[in-house]
Formats: sequence, C-alpha cells, structure tokens
Amino acid sequence: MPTLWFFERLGLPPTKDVKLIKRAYAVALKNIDQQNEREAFESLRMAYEQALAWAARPEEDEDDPDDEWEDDDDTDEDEADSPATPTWRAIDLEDAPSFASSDLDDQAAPPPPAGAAPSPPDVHDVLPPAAPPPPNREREELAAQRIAIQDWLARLFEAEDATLDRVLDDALKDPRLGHLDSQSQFEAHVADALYNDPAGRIALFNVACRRFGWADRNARFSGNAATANWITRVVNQELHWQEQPAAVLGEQNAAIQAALQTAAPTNRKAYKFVPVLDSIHDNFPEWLVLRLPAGRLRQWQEVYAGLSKTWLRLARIRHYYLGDRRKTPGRVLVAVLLMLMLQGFVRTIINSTMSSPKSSATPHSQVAVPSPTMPPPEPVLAYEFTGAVTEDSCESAHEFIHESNWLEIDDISAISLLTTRALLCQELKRWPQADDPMLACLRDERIAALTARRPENPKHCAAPPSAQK
Amino acid sequence: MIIGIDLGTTNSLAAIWKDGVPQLVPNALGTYLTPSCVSIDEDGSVLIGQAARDRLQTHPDVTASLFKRHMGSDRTFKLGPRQFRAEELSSLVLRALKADAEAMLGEPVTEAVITVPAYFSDSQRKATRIAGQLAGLQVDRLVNEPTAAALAYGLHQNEDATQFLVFDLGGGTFDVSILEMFEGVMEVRATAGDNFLGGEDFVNEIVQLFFTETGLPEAARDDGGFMQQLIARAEAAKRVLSDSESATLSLYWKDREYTLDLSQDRFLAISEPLLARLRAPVERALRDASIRANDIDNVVLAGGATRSPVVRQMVTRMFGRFPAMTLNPDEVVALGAAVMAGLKMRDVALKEVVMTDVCPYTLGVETVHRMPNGGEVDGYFSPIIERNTVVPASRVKGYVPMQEGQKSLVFEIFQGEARLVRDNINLGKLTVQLPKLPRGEASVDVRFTYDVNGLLEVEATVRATKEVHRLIIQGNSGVLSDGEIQSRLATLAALKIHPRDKAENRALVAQAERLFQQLRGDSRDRFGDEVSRFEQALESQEERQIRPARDRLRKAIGFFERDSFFDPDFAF
Repeated sequence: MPTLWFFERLGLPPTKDVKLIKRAYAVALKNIDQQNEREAFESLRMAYEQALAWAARPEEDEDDPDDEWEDDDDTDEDEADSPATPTWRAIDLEDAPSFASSDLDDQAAPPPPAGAAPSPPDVHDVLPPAAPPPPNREREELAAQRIAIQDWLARLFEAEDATLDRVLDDALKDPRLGHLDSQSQFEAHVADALYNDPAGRIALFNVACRRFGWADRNARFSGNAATANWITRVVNQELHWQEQPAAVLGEQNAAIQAALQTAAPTNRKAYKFVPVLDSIHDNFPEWLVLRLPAGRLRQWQEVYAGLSKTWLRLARIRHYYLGDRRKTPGRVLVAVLLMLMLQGFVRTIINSTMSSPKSSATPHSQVAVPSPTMPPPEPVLAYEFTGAVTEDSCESAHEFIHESNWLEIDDISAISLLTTRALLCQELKRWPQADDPMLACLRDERIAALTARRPENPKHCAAPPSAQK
Repeated sequence: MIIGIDLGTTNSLAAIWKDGVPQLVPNALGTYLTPSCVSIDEDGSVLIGQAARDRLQTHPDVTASLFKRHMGSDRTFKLGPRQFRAEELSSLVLRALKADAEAMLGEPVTEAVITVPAYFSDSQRKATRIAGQLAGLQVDRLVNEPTAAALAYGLHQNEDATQFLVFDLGGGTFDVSILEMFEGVMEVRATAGDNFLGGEDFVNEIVQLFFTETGLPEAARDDGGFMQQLIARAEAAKRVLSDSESATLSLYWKDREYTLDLSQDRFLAISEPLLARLRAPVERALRDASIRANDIDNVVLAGGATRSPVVRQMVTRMFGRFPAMTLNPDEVVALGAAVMAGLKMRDVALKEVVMTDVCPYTLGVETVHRMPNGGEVDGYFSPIIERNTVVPASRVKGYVPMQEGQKSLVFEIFQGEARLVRDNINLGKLTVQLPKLPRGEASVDVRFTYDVNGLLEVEATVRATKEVHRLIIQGNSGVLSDGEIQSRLATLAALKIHPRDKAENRALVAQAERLFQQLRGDSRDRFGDEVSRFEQALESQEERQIRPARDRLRKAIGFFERDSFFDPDFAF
C-alpha cells in the first residue's frame, strides 16, 4: 500500500478498518486543546475525514460488502445482497426502508428527457445500502407505509394543479407516513416519479420543491444520484431563467403559452415561436420539459421544418416591415401608412356591409368584442400585442382592455404584458382615452406591487370605475 | 472554580462539577430553577427570580421577562425610571446564580461556561458573553444547548458506539443535534434549529384563543398586569392538559368574568401549526448527518417544553419509538454545562472524554454573479464555511474585483442557507482598499475562522501586498463596544441588589401580593389579614417571630391558591 499523509497523521498504516481509524483519531484528539490549538485540530480532523473517505472508497475489482462507511462485522444476507454496484438496484420496501429504492411498478420508466443524460451515480454521495430492518418497526407498519406511498403518489399525479398543495399536505399528515423515514421514502418516490415522467409537471415540481426544500442552498436531496442531479439542474435553470432581461422573459413566456395552447400551430405561430422555444431548450432543457406536454416541442419543430421556402421569404418580408427590429423612420412611416390604408379599407367594408352604425366605433372586428357572458379570452390573444407601439396597435389594445373580460384570463404574465403595453402607449401619448380610470388603476396596482415586492395582480381593476377609490 | 450556567428564556440554572459528577446549585429559596425575571422593588433594589416572576402580575411596569429573545438586539426594557438592554438583565440573572454558587461553594466564582441555543447568531453569542462580563464572570466557553444536553446524557452511556439525537425545545428556542459517540469522543454530526419556536408559543396560542372565544375586548391587551395573569393561567392550563381531558381558565377583567373551557383536542388543534414546525429542523439535521431516523439509537429530550404530551407524541410518531426519559429535561442542559466546566478544568474523571461541535449555519460573503449572456446580478451568497463543519474551523476563499481600476472591495458578511443574501442574516461589513494593479492580480483572500464558542473572525488579505484587514463590524449596533461595556458596568455596579439572605421573605411577600390581587370578596379580606400579620412580624426583625409567621403565611397561600384553582407549583 502507498504511504498516505492522512494515515501518517493518524499514526496508522493504511487500513480500511473504520474502528481502528476512529480509535487512532480519538487518542490523538484527547491530546489537543481545541480552543488553543486550532491548527493542530484542523489537520487531525482533515486526516480523519480523508481516512474515512478512503476507507469507504469501493475497490473496483473487489466484490466485497465491507467497502462501506460502516464496517460491520456481522454482514448478513441483506447487506450482502446490496453491494455498491454501479447503479442502485431497486430494493423492496418491505425488506428495508431505503432512500435509493425506485420500485414503482405503475411508473413506466421512459428514457430520461432530452439533455438530461444522468451522470453515473456517484457512490460517495449516496447512503450506504439499507441495513437490516430494525426490530422496532414492524413489517405490517412497513407494508402500510408502502401502500400509503403508492396511494398518495397516484393521487398527486392525478390532482388538479390548484389542489396539489393541499394533496401533498394531506399526504404528509397521513399517520402511516408519520415516521421520518417514511417521509423521506415518500419524498424519494415523488422525486423519482417526476424524474421519470417530467413532461408538463411543473406545478407538481414546484409544490414538491417548496415542501421538501429542494431549492435550499446545500439542501441535500437524499434519493438516488441521477434524480438528485436532475433536481439540482432544474432548480438552477429556474434561477437563471428568471434572471434574464424582462423583454426576453416576455418573449419566452409568450412562446411557452402559445405552445401550451395547441399541438398543431399555424405556420405563422410556428415561425414566430419555434426559434424562441429552441433557444429556451438550448439553455434550460430540463426546465422546458417540465413546462410542456410530452412531445409538444417536437410537434412544433415539425411544423416549422415543414414551412415552404416561399412562405419563409414572405414571412421575412412581413417581419422586416412589421416587426420591431431595425426601425428606421422611413420603414416605420411605410408601415404606418400601409396600416392606415388597410384600416381605412376594412372600415369601409364594415360600414358598407353592416347596417349597424355602432360598429363604426369598433374598427377591429377581428378582435372579438365579447358580450359579458362570453368566456374569458384566450391568453394567447393578450400576447398578440407585442409589436411596435403604433397608434393603431394602441387603439386595439385599448379596445381589448375595455371591451373584453381580459382580466379573467388565468395567466398573470399575459395580463402583465398587456398592462405594460397599455402604460407604454399612454407614455408615448398614443392611448386613445386621455383620462382612463382603468389605466390609472392598472398603474397604481403596478406601483403598489413594485413597492411591496409582490407579484402584480390587477384583477380588481375589472370592477366598474365607481367601485374604485 | 468554573461554574456551568443554563441561561434560559423562562428559567435559568447553575451547576458545578464536583467529586466527579455534575451537581445542581440551589438558589436562595432552595430550588434549582431560577425564573429569568428581573424586577425593581419599591425601595429601588433589584429582585431576581421567583419574587420577580410573581411581581410580573402585580407590578408589570417595573418587571421584565423573556428578555433572552432580544439578546443581540437594541431593544430596551423599561423598569420604572431605568432602561435596560437584554444583556444587562441577563447579567443580573447571572449575578444571582453566581451568588448562589458562591454560597454553596464558600469561595468566590469568577469563571463560567454558559449555554446558548445552537442556532444563536454571532451577535446573540457576543451579547451572551457580554452579559457574563457584566456579571463579573469570565466566560470561558459558550456551549450549544443541545450539545450540553448530550454531554450530560453521554456520560451515562456505556455502550461502545452509539448515535443519538437531542430534541431541545426550551421556552423560546428549538434546537436539534445529532451526535455520535465512540471511544470517549462525543461528536456532534449536525445541528439545526428554529430561534423563534418554544414553549411560550404554545402558551400564546391559548391566550389568543381566550381572546377570540370569550369575547374579551382587545383593550385588555394594554393592561400589563391582567395580561401577565392571563399568561400565567394559560401556562397553568397547558400543564393541566398534560394529564387531564380539559382545563378551565377563568379571569376577571373590569369586574366581568371571562371563562374558557379548553379540551385536550382543542389544544392539539391550535398547537398543530407549531408542532408542524418541529419537523423541518429534525429532517434537516438527519439529512446533513446522512443518517436515517431509524439509525438513531436514542432520542434525548431537553428543555421544559418537552414535558408536554403533545410534543412527546409528535417525537414518538416521528421516530417510531419512545424518547429517553432518564434525565430531567429542565436540568439536563445545566448538568451538561457543568460537565463542560469539568472538561475545561481538566478534571481527572473526564480524562477520557472529548467533545467536538459544529458550526450550525453557513457563513459567507455577498458576491456578484456573471450571467452567461454577460449580464451581472448582485446579491449572491458565496459560502466560505459550510454549515455543520466541525469547529474550530478556518477556511479561505479568493475574490477578485468586478472592474478594472476598482479602488476597494466591500465584503458584506452573511449567515444563512439561502442562495440570495437578502434572505440571510447580515453580520457586518469589511472594506478592503485595493492596490493599483490589473484586475486579475488584485485578488483578495478572505479567511473565516469559527471558534469553539461559535464566534466568527474575518480576515482579508490582499494577495499582492500581503496586507491584512480584520473585521471591524460597522453598523452592527446589536453588539456593545468595549467602551459601552465599561460604562454599563459602572451603572450596574451602582444598582442595589436585594440581599440574598432576605430573598426567601421577599419572594413570599411577592407571591402573597400576586395572590391577593387574584382573590375576590371574602377570601381577599381574610387573606389580606394574613399578609398584614406576616408584615408585622417582618418589622420586628426578629427571626424568632418571623419564622412561625412565615410558616403560617405559607399555609395560607397554599389554602387560597387551591381555592382559586391555581396550583402554586405551576405558577407561571
């Protein structure tokens, strides 16, 4: 055996006998005054920790269960059955509560999500294989725990997003899961199930993340290493995603919302959003998988790939004139003129075809004018107001804000985007209504939210103006 | 001689290491628990302990309690014309305990080991140390409370190797520690806790319920004396519920009676949110120690609040076993402090015992995070010492300035587990002047040293010039400076402490006054006569007369306390 400094420090020949290492450490420790001989203590402590780590390191060519943190002489069948093999094999819950078990028979294990290639499990990060069942936990109790875990897992995966919090709370209050080890078991199962079937499970992931503290700095998820790695990546991606500039966030939110709406996008939507989705996927792969239904990104990419050359060329021209990039005064003027002409044309048609004089007040009939009983508009409509801030687009935003029940959209980022647009219009003096109570309410709400550092929620602005202060 | 002191939120105790065993120190009243209360008497002298606790109800304006919750902050307590900081009030309690130990030992005591909640921050620890200094005690060592409990418990263990968990729920703080014992080494593997969760919170829940259920007007909250009575009754009810199905709280406010019947189930229901908060620190400690609940050989209970059956049930459910009850949870921390004092004195009986502790929280500095897209986001926490590192520990990390030509580097020092510093606790700031060097070469090494007392030392070295800066905490007003300590010491020395040999009589009068206030009608008159009789005897200043009068008054108190459904042992 080679000479190793940490064994020299302990005054031992290299050994895998943990008891010997501990004894040597104890003897040396008793001769050190921790308060006044800090450096001597630190070097001893480091030697001790390294020696323990060395002793726990499995030897590749050895198939010996002694290669564990705890060197138990009374190795019995259970232990011999679970040596430090490269991947953790499933351990039956009935035999022993183990953090590394993943015996979900009802959870098919599809290949890990794209880009989530699990690194080989790091044996040092994982707990030693389960010890034999302790005498004070009866077999029936473990069986009850097993049933409870399966039961709650099924309920969690079927629950509506809004009720997830409550379901998880109830699960953790279940007396069958009262034991701390049962809770860790349950946590490991939820994590594994999410890892194996992540598509569109963002709500469940967030609820579990909050309850189990996965996002805490250096909180260690104690399940299997691949799942733990995956959780860390998702948490980091979420953090980095949020730190992007607001404009990028808005664009990406719009793309994700659009992708959530349909599996078969129009050519225009695919053209507009697929490049955005691709860039999200490049930077935040696991995070995006959690947000979209299974296969959704591929469906959109296929539509995009199928776009004809002519269509693309046309789209590029349209983008050149109508998009908000490369704005020179000349181009903007051309675009505005074109739009005004188009608008006038549409208005004439409407006026001539419809006898009702009232419709002249609503020039953009393609923007629905919902009756009070109509269901709330789709969030994707709210995302349409993203181009250049022209008088025309401000007018339609104004109409949308006043004529539709847009505040009932169940998508706060869509509402927020539209609010920004309205405030921007007003700032550029392009808002058609000089003294708009709803806009005032929206602005107040935004300022209040910013000062209180809380998310914006302008739903109360939908009330009739008389109800506002 | 070094004494061990458990300076608690509700009660404090002293213990000494003598003849190879830890022994508790009785106070002037012959009991071990000294309530952590301070009151100023009519003649201006300071009352500490039980007398002060009784005066919480009769003289709330000149009495203070629960001040441990404000250690390390600038909050002051008004006692009559005087203002006191938490460390000054604590120093008065420490002074009383010191006098008790001196009376027991017959020799002066100048050194002490004091216990603190494991989760106490740097400034709270410094304040505790200053409290010792103000009491004329050199604080040799601050020990984490669960670690002390483990020391007391571990001394009785004969097994070769064992892992156990200390569940320490005191009056105001909650700590969990996991320990491993082998070859005489007691090693803390992990510690977690909640600085704002304790037995007093359960009492508060009952008080809240009393307000909502009985329709007692909110204005009653401003009546200090009444509130203290209500708190005392709620505390008593909590204890009654330990072994009976229900308890009744009945109080008069402005000549109207308000009554609440509290069943055990109801109490459990209102305690539920508090009980739920006990789980998280236990889970985290297990995780950090990389062990399962089932690998714990024993659960040791410490802190008076673990007497409560609801808490015990919770512990039993979490671990699937009954906790160890060999030691009195009220006394175990003080006994452990005495063991630590024995270790400090290198007592031969402890030759083979050694203990190592950990730093319970992560310590680091604020940094700027560079995004992949080139943007910069500040407010990131860069840890230097990770939580549950064995102490003493010293760690270094290097940092470079953000920009070319930057003149100085500011290190904001934080404690906590969040990724962003805004969610962590700010400990102070260290500013380092940089030499004129290219950005890449102007790096600074920051060294954090965390000692066995849990105090942090920060040192920054400019790598190029080897220039060393030490932390001078700026703007951290929670800690007194040396100059301030000296002036406070002088003020405190001028205070007249009520003489210890008269403490027994004084405590009895305080108790009698408290009871007199609670009684009504005929009983009140009859009891008033008894108090006058004792006061007459006191005026004679003759022990021959005082002793029988004292016994008589005690009997009277016993009789009337029962009459008012109020057990004297349960008094607040």
